Amino acid sequence: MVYLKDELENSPEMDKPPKKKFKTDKDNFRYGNYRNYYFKRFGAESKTDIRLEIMQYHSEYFKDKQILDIGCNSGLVTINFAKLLQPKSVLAIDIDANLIDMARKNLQKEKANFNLPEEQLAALNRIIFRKANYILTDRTLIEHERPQYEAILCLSVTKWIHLNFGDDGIKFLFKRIYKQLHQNGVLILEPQPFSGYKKRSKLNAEILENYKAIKLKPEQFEAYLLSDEIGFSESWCMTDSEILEQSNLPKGFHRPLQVFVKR
Amino acid sequence: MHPRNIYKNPPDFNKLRIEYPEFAAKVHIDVDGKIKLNFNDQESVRVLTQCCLMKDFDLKVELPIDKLIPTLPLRLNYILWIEDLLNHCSIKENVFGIDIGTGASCIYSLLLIKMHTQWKMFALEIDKENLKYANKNINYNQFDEKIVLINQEGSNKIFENLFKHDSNHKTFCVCNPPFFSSKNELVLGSENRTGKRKRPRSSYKESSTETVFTEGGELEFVKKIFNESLELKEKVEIYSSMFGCKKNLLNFITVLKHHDIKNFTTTEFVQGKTFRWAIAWSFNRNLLNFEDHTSKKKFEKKPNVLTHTIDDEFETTHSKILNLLSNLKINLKLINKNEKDKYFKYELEALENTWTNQRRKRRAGNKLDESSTFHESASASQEENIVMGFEIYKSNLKSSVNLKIFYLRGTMSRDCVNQILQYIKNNLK
Repeated sequence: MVYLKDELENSPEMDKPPKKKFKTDKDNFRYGNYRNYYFKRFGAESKTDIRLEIMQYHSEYFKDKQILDIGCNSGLVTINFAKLLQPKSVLAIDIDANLIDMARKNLQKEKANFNLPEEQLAALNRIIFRKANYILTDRTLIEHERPQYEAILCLSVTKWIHLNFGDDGIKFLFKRIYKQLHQNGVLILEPQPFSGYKKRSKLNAEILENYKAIKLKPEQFEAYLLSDEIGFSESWCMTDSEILEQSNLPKGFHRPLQVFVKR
Repeated sequence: MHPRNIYKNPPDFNKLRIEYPEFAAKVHIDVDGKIKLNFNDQESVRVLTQCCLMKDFDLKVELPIDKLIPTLPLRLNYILWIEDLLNHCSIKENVFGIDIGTGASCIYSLLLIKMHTQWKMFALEIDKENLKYANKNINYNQFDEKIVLINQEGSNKIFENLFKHDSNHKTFCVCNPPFFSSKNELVLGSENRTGKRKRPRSSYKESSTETVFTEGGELEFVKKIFNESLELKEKVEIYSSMFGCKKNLLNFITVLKHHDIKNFTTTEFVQGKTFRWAIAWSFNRNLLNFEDHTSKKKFEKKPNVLTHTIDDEFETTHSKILNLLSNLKINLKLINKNEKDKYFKYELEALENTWTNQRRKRRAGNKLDESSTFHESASASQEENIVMGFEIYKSNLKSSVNLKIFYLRGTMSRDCVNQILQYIKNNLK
């Protein structure tokens, strides 16, 4: 069967393609699992992450401690963290298996460096990268959670957990972190401000719905974490605003590192 | 795993955790939400076993913490094999089983009766404490009519008390002998070929009485059963025992052959990474005749020839491989060649393992170069060598090259053959 050109153009099915409501092509990065994240964050010339510099001032929380890193992306921060702060062990997770693959490759590359000092190599050998979704599908499993870490890093992931899993997910995140921390253990939280949520809210219908339903805003995280529902005893800000000013970081990355202590 | 073993698929920890709070108290959750159990913790294993017995067999069993915790998949494999043997001889009725060294759990007897309510079991035990628990466990499950507990205290013979109690013929005996001959064997683990095998992940703890009981290890114990069986003959139709160590099984087979007993059969129980073996022998040839299909051959060592095919030109591959081998400081000796058919046969001799842990060695080498204090590598000091046969020839059909490599002699582990082939594979890419 042959269509005439006119017929084709007039047929109702061939009308203009429906207007895309969501940027479906970006659905692949719905968890903020960007491939070139650190490049964007640091610019082309790689230098020490400002957050690591800050954490170095408080190395007593990390040296010889068991660490969990939630949302490690391609692992560059995790790797440098281990090298600089000499933790006892680091379990670094990300929801994106491809990023975990990249992280493992990055770790291999780093380890292959012959000039690496022995103790840094040893620290690298204590890193484990694993693909995992920290927000468990079966929420009841949380009751079996036991203290196992002295510090948990949660750097620039709350937005993605919030958008993908809603208030319920973010609350689960905090509850699980609290349960996994030993006494005197710390949560290092770098939350993204709510103002940045909107831009990503239209990734897909689910995320949009979650976005609209958000009641627990990032500004309220601190109060929530210190409330009886979670139970952290104290919080303070690790980031010195002066350091941030001096750094040439893009403005969007001027986020404070907050510390929450479990007593 | 036996095809009828319900633990072919591991137990569903999630269901167990919801149903049994005592199990829920033992589990921990990994970062991705997988439910895990610490198999190194005796108490956790005990609770798991109890919950599985309850859930899958409706058996209420008390297991004292200081005694051996029976692993269910293995016990079931053994039981199912016994079922197979009885099926093979078409024994269906009047089954009387003997459970030698039933232990505190009384596990074989309980499971066998649960699975075959018409059978009757005689459970033999020497340890006072074990007897107490076994009795309790029989009571709990209301099997007092079905399982007779025989006290072996003060008895040197295995079957004597039993036949004093009930002189009728018995159908079979099962035995899970104490595997280890000494505490050392228990702690250090049995020897293994490469010395690199990891410690078992599960806990393995036997009570002191059980360890004392094991003088001479399982081999001596099964020999004792065998010696008594020579007198009792057909009073028991099928004698059987498990072995925790293949070497002991092979030794036991030589003992059987020495006594000209050919009517026996062996099997292998595989549960994950744990292998166990069992043997059954019989004096009743009308009932059970294994002589035709004894699996003797299974245990003979085959020459292990590894082969590999490479899709590439013969000449280039040939020279590349020779190059690789000489880089590894392996001595090549040409044994046979046929230029026309493109067939070469070599003998490879290595005096030192140069092919594993390359990266680590490079690192160490770099460090040494910097400080330049050492001259000799440590591994060269040991007197080790390995000689392998190596054939390379052009495939008839396609433009590909066939490799054959096999162990000939030498003191190094046979795994080296595989390692060298792997090295060639990796480095030809």
